[in-house]
Amino acid sequence: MPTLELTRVTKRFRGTAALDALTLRVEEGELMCLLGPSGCGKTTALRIIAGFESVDAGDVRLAGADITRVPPQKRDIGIVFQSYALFPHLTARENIGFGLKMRRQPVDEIDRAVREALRLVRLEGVGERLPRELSGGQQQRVALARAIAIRPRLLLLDEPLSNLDAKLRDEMREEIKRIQRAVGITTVFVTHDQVEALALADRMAVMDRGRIMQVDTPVSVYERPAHPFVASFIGQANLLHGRVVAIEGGLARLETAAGLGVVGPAPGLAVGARAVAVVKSERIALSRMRPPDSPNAVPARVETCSYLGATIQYACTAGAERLIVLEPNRADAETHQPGADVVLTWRATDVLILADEGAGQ
Amino acid sequence: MTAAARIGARVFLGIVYVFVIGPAVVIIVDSFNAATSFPSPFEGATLRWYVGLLRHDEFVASMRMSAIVATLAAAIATLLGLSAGYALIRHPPRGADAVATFMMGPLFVPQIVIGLAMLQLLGLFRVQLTLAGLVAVHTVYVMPFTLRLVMTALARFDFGLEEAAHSLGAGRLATLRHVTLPLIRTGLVAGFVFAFILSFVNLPLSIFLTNPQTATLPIVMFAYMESRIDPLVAAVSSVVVIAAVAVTFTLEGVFKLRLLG
Repeated sequence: MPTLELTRVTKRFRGTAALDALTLRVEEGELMCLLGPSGCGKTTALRIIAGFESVDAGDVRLAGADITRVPPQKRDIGIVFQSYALFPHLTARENIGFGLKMRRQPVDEIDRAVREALRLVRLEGVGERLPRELSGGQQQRVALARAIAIRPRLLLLDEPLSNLDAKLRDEMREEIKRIQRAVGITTVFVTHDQVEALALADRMAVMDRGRIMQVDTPVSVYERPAHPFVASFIGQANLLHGRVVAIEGGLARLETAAGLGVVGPAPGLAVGARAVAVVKSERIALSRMRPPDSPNAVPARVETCSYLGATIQYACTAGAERLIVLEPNRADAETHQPGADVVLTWRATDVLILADEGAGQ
Repeated sequence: MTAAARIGARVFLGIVYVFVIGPAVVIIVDSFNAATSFPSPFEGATLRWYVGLLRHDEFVASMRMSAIVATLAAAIATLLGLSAGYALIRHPPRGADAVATFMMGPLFVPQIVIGLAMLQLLGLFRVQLTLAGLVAVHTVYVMPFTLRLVMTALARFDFGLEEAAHSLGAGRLATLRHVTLPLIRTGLVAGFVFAFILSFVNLPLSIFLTNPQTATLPIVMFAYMESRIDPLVAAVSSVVVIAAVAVTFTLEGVFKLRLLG
């Protein structure tokens, strides 16, 4: 039985649909990530699950029970807010014990639970401090401990890492994963950061304009995007728009308007279909010479070369098309200067040709 | 800041002190003056005016009456200010600004006009001059202050904290009690104190709306000074000033424990 089930949930703000018949199932113990650009509806979805926002249509079920109209205080859902929303007048300990106090638990029971929660988030020793006396990372941990202390049926995390600096973010990401595993709690995590989603999620739902475009494991979403939007949003990919001109031996050939040809699998597409070829930037090899029998070899010119530390990013032009290439920064790799003539190659299996819905077939 | 500017600032501050504290000091000194008229040069220290005050039943009764009226008016105005302010900030209706300005209305009408109008209105409906009526009018007059202070406090309040409390199982009342009220406490208490003091010292409203049973302290002082002027009035004033200062300091002390800083 799925722990959380949203069925055709629709929400409109001033006539525009923030959520458009959104359907999502989150299984018991799963860490589900809602990923999408700002304004895609992921925060609205989270607020509807929490009970802060009503729905215009559809229903929300938790452990089989319809909670669509249950007020938030009766949902048993723990939430870590983007700004943490720690009570500034209460100590860390009082913050963590707040939910249990509201449930009228005996004092020694609250004490025990708070101590356990502090240990879980590795914050023993700062229990008596007020939120303003804690660092950002510590506040984050208190917020997490407070949400977990009530032993909720579901944990919601709203962009929990966005207020932390880069180093701390990596650390907290691992912490959240460790704690979620330790407690075994079903979790929904909202983020606009694909790295967070890829690193944390068991499965991720990629959202765009109030709809879910794809729900799958991080590997599947990354390797096999189901939709051009997903392909462009996740990772660094080149999208080449064109038409399928031939299908041969399981591989299709797409040609762009400018005549650039791309060979790769095109599941479900027929000759003549408008399509988009997705080529991940890091799967493109850049060389001076054309290697023998590569199905995809495109002569190009280096326009810019950006040193990004771990990788080097080249912006290349091949006729009218512009391609971004990411090369690992290896000591033995040769760098190509702007203006250099190069050949871009990639394997057919690194290409995915998708129906181009945006072009209107 | 240049030295000249610094000296200028000090002088300015000094002038402010003289004008704010000066009259209170003069009154307190006068209340110990043995001279029988007021004001007059200091002739010698005495406590006879304080003794006289304690024996003067009308002053004692009116102080009690003022305290009752001010407490009720300030309490009701704080409650109403809290409700109205919360609604205007949390769930602003169409034209919330206009509503807020309208509620500030009593500030812009001369009190003597409000008092007179209320007297006429009460007469029109044949309502007796009662304590309830007096409290009601005082409440209307002091509510702009409680409302404004609650709205200022709520404007800085993060309503996300209420959502956090709800998610942790706190209902509306529990959230109000454990989260919202403690965090806007300064505004509430400051509003209450303001309202209390304004009601306590009010003359122009009370003058039309009191009867001998509900005569407040300013009314009795005013009546007393019409017939006589002696330092007894200074003694009454001193008690009021010292009580106000004591209350303010006590509240400040209570607050610094947790809210400020």
